[in-house]
Amino acid sequence: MLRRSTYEESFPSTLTRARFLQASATAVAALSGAQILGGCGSTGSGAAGDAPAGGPPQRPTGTFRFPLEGATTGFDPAYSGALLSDYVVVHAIFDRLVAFDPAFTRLVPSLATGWEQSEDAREFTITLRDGVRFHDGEPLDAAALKATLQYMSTAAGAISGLLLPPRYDTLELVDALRLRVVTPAPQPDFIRNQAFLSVMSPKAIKAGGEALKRRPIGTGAYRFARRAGNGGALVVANNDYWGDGPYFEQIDFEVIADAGARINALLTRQVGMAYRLPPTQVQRVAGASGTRTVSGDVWSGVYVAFVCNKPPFDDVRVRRACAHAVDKEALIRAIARGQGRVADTFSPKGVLGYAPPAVRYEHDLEAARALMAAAGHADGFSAVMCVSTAQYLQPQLAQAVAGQLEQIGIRARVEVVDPIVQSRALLDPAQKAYDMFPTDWTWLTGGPLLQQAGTVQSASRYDGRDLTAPLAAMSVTPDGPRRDAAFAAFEGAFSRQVPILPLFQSIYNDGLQQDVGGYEETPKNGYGPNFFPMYTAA
Amino acid sequence: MVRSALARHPFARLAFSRLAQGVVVLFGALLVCFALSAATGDPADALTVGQIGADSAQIDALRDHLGYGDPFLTRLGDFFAHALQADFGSSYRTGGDALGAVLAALPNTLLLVACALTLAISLAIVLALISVMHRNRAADRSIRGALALVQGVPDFWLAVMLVLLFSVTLGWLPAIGFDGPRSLILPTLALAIPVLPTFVRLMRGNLLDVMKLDFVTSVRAKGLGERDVVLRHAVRNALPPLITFTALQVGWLVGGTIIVETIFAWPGIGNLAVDAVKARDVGVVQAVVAVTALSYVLLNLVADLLVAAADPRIRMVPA
Amino acid sequence: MTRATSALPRPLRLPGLRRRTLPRPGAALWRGNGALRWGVLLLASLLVASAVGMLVLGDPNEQQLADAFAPAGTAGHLAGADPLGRDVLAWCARGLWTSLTVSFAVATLGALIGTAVGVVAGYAGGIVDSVLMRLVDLSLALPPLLLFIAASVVVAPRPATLVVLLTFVAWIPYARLVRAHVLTERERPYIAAARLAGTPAWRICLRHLVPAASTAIIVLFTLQLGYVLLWESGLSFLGLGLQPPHVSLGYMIAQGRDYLASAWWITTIPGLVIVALMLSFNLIGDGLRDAFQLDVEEAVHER
Repeated sequence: MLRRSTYEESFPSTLTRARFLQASATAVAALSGAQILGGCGSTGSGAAGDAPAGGPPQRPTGTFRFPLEGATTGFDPAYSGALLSDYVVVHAIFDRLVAFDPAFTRLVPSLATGWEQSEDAREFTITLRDGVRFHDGEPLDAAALKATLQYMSTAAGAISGLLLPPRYDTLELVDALRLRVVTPAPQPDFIRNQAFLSVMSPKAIKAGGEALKRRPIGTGAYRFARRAGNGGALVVANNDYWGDGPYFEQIDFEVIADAGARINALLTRQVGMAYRLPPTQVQRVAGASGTRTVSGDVWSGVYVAFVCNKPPFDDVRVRRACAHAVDKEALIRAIARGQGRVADTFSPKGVLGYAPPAVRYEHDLEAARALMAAAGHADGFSAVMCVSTAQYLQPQLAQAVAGQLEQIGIRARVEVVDPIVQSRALLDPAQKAYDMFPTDWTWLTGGPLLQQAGTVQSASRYDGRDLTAPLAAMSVTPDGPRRDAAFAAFEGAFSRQVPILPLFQSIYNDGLQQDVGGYEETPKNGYGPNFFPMYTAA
Repeated sequence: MVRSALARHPFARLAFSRLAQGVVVLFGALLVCFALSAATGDPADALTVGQIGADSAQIDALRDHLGYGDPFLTRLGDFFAHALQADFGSSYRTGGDALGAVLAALPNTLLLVACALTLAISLAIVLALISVMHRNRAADRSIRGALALVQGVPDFWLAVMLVLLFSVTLGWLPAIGFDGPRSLILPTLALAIPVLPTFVRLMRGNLLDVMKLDFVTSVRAKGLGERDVVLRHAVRNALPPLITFTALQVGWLVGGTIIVETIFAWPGIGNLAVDAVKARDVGVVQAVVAVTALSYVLLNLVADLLVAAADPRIRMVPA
Repeated sequence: MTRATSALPRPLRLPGLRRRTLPRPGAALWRGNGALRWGVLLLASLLVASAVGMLVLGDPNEQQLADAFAPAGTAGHLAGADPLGRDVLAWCARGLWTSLTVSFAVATLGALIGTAVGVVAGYAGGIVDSVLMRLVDLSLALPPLLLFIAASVVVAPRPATLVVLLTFVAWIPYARLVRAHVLTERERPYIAAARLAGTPAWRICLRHLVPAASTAIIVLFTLQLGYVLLWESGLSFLGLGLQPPHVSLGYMIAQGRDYLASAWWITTIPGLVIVALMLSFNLIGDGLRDAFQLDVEEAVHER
């Protein structure tokens, strides 16, 4: 039975109330946080958070220089989600069916003007916007959307595999602008995931091959111009864009791998923006004249995953002892410089899938030591943590956690390795060398993406039914009370078993030139700015 | 017949033997670079990173598909066969030619190195001259003292300080990138200053040695003043060792610009190489090592021949 | 290229007899040599300060998160604290010792390997010499930092791996230097006499040739100690150096690089320690070189 659910009702009512409370709490916390730190400079004159006075220009003007953290590897949207550098460029060239509103609380139309979803979340009807053309002249229509969905489902890329069903029962062109999708199994997040998936030109998909990676064709406000030799890219304004913007004549993505160099470039006006500043540099950028900072809670958190399939962390008492031993407030103050909020759940607050934990572990060294003794480790033991310098706030955070665990007898050594080696070790179920993996995860879609992807099991090697059963249930249950119950069951079991220790939810800070407008809050999905409304004030 | 011809021309013999040695070194360098790139991994590792659910079978399939699945010796043979034709494959990230990417970035690094060496040598000659002409007096002592202090400063610290002072605080010069001649100034200083003490010491030592030689005494006896002695005669004779030393430094600098290129986001092969290693872009890594080794060999060859051409005595020394 | 001979005359050598090769460190060596005196004095005071610091100040790895970024001069942190609240002064005291140990180990290993290669190459001559010198060339042709970065992908940075990696770079000057000395020395009559007397080659090398080059080796050794220190801090900057709980100066310098504008003490104070160490090594090296009248750099670059 098709139940019409418009975009306003994308989120169940229970969550809407919670979201309101959370949004207001966020505002209060952000304000008080800023005053404690002075990091966002809201009290100074020419305050770091103020938008420029002038509005966007009439026609696209100027070059916006945006630094990438690493070289791009390709611009095929089916594969580009894994690397932030790729995704940032892709984000400028493509549109998505739906988008989030600026506050990231609900879905708003983008290429899709309306969508309907059946009660069992297996049948979706998407209505597309009329009169939109791809950069190569092809019209946006249901056939184009069908081609994109088919291509992405079969592509072996990491992202599309997570976000889309592997096959469809039906992809029916209801009319020129409406597509009906029927999937074999329920896809409760199908529409929500479209906020991350780009719509590609059918002509490009048909041509296939390397061109998909090298010459992206989308409908976005910027067209792909070329890739630079050292890994950057250049995109130019698409003057026929259907929506607001673009306001830059071109965006020059250049690779500046070193974080310090990026900030120096921002301070000397050589780039327009520095995304995700290290927390220790926020004050410096906010305090400098000519630059300002923008911050926001993101759907991202920092965790320590325990390796639960071998001693000593196969014992839940040891894991709970660690949960008691870690002083999260101190970590936020010292390492994240206040740019974080204590977290006790796998899912960050604000993400669909969040539910309060069943147990909270207070910072209590006595309880921790008692648990260690009960587990037979009164004398402590040695352990090894595996981090890479490419991770957010690492390796300082790992060292700080190791220092705190030392107080209950765990002599943790932090081993800093290459990022690829770390990632491989994290996901290798048979590895024996490491006991803990500090890591950070980002929820790209605002939905229970990482729960469904099996992240908890693969990172912690914990496969108890109390966790896996609700995880399986939430993947196939449409939004509603039953799904909420699965969320609650999962977070309850998660907090009781602590296969992964949540540390805190992150607050990202971005630095901009003072005269850059159209960017007032860090996007919650933590995956790069939206360039379309951005401009340089006259 | 060739042998007798060579016997009659010691210079040609020297050139030939040096060339042969260079080829051997190059061969060895290619071998090492291949072994290294084999040890660090291949693009299959990089492409599957973070992919939840990617098991080893999938990764191996991808590896075979990309052409890295063959046994070591097969790949080694392949590598040499292609390398001798200057083909290092393509970069899996750009799709373009790996060697092309390196050759595009090489001029930027060479320019930086050339400027740094020019600055270092010129300053070294000037400072060494002052130091020698005012031997053991205030100027000499202060130069040597300042250089002794400078020698202990880590080069990345120096680079960061330069950026902080001249770019961020004073705003006189750009902080990163290569946008024109002004971008050259800070990176050149950051590269030149750390090697300056060694150059000065070498030049000063050579000058002092040369000045003890007999011919200088005879020139002095002719009545020329100290300044003329030093400037016109001693310097010219003290230069050859500096040339050899410089050639050595060039090879080092081209590989040793990594730190400076990182801090200044300079689009040279240092940055390219580090990036390629991290991303397991095997073709680019191999091409960088090969190009660096080749430039070292060539530069040393040229330097040796220059010195030999200038000094007849050298040609008599067996290789 | 000229090379001045040693200041003191060499005694007549008979094969098999152990000869005293080092010029007796007489008062003359010490008295006229300001550089040597100052260098030794500086090094000694640094070592004493480091020892006192290690005894008096606490464990450098002790984190006090509440004290993170404490400025220099605050109570309990005379030189300030780092981002995890570790005391910078305690770190420098212990770090001086660790960095010196690493430098010493690398320089010693490098000296051993390089000397061995140089002696063999110089004495054997011919094809052996050619091959070994090509090995030296090969090591110079490959960019060391790139090799380190590639190696760090395969092995995690531990003190042992660091020492091994740095030794790859350190042995080269010794090889060339010793070879140059050996080339000269082996033409001397006493070597020919030893050979005629049937002394085996290894004995000749060990008893005569190596000691003949020993003064140069010592001078190079003291100079290299400083270079290895700088290498280590360069590696730390790239994330390849020693990590906590190993206490190294390079780590603290590299860590503080982002805070030069706001928390200058984290980089600058360990940096000053390295400058002082380097200064002392150079003074000692210069002093020794002046005393023995050796020209090390030239010989190192002779091919």
